[in-house]
Amino acid sequence: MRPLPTPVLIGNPPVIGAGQLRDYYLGYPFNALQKAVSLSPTEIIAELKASGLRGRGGAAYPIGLKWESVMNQPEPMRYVVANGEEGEPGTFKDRILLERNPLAVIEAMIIAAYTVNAREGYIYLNHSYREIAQALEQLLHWLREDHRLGDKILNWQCNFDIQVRRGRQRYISGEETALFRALEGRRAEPSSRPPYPTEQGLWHKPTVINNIETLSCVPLIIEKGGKWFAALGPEGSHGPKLYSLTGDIQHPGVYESTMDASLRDLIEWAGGMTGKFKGAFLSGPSGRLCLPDDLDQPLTVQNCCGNGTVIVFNDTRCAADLARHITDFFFAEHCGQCLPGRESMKQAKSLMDNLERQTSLAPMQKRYGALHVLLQNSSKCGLCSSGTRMAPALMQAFPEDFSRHFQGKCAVCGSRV
Amino acid sequence: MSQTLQQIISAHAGKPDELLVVAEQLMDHYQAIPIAALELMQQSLGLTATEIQSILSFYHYPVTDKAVKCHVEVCGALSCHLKSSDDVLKRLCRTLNVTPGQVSDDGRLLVAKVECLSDCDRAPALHINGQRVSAADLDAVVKRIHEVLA
Repeated sequence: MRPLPTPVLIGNPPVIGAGQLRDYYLGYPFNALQKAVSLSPTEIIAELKASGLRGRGGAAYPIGLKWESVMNQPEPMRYVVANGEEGEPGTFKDRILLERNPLAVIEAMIIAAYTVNAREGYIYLNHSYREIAQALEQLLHWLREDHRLGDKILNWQCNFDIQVRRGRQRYISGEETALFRALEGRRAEPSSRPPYPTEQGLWHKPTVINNIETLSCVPLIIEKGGKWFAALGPEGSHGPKLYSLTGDIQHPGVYESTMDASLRDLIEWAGGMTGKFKGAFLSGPSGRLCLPDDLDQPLTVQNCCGNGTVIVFNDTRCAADLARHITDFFFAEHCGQCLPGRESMKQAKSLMDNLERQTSLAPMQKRYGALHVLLQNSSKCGLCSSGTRMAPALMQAFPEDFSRHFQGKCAVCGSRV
Repeated sequence: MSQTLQQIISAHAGKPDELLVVAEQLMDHYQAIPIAALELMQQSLGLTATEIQSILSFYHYPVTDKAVKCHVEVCGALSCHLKSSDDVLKRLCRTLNVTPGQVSDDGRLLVAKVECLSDCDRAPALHINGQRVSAADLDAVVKRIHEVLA
């Protein structure tokens, strides 16, 4: 078994909920922030570009380009937003990060604000992260007392402050433009792009929006250098990556590695499967289906590791049940804003609801696949097209599971006749 | 109208963009959005009833005229589904004699299926009034619910 690498992102023990918050705050060195304010914004962006850091929320957009785009906007008002919505099923890596090293995120946001000249920042959290929100509020209070937030901070002599917000469970709120609408007190309905968030984001102003994990990497890059970060991991997939591993596994949890780790490595680090490996959802139910032949592929950006969520399932699982569950989830969670999304998800759900009335898989597979293509070409955002990718993949990989349902009996999951 | 309700809402007077901040504070305090809050939100935040209902319903906030004391959230997302969260919800509702998503007859208990509490490593995830509770022992969960309701 390949040894689990020493973590650099989640090496700390939990500080939230462990009564360690004040000690943690007093012991945090803020080395990256001190170094950052001695650099120019252009130099900071050069380090980020040299690091090769790509967004860890799933889209994998290069952070250097994102911050540079905001910095170069003519509009003087800018925002910094940390995306901790974490609504993808199976994802909890940002919770782990915030429980262990929340100041890394705040430090990164202050560095971002310095770089792009922002005055206001928001940390948007999953609804259930009450304790984390309270701890962040306490940390922000101490930072204001020490003049690291607020008016004329550090050597920078500029103003920057951060608010913490929690959002109700709506999967779509994790989409950047939808998250902005939620912060604005509106329905979390995505906007078309262009314009991009770097041009018109929160309150239609240029906005740096990054995932919690992405931001957590920034202090490491500033302190140790972009080249150091880039040397971790394979080409095009630089730096450490967190993988949230759940499902039919002995020890579900977050595992940190460079992106040359494989699915087999992750499973071994987690103590092995419960049962025999049948498949895995890489980057969650909106991502990619991995089969036994994929066990040894590296979990890189190029191999669609996305946000690093891995849900493994064993050979006692019925693929039709999984396809139905995933379809129901995306049907419930789509925002209803655009006609293609609304009607296609209704039809996808109807196909799965009527699974037991089908006589063969091919027409259903063809119809579901057509809905996915239609959504890719015409829906307003990527939620519904991502949500309709997995069911056809499951049909393709496990036709026998669906055929059992056509016969009216599924001993594995039960069928709805 | 209770003073706390007024205090929570009036603290955001004139700030319609803070509707969701108000809603979260109401949820933290009341485990649901009291119907009495809607009119006060209209007046204080300067929003129409339609705007408020549109936004609250989009986010599936429970709005009720009952004084909910215990809000149980059972996660139904995929990692929890693989750990039989559907079964947990069914058994819990049967034991407590409630319908998922509906406030109980006495108005004090709400058991709801929710999507992704991000507690996937502790699946099946279950929260009681925002606090994480292990669903491994349903008898212990029921006991905890009765303690909250007492």
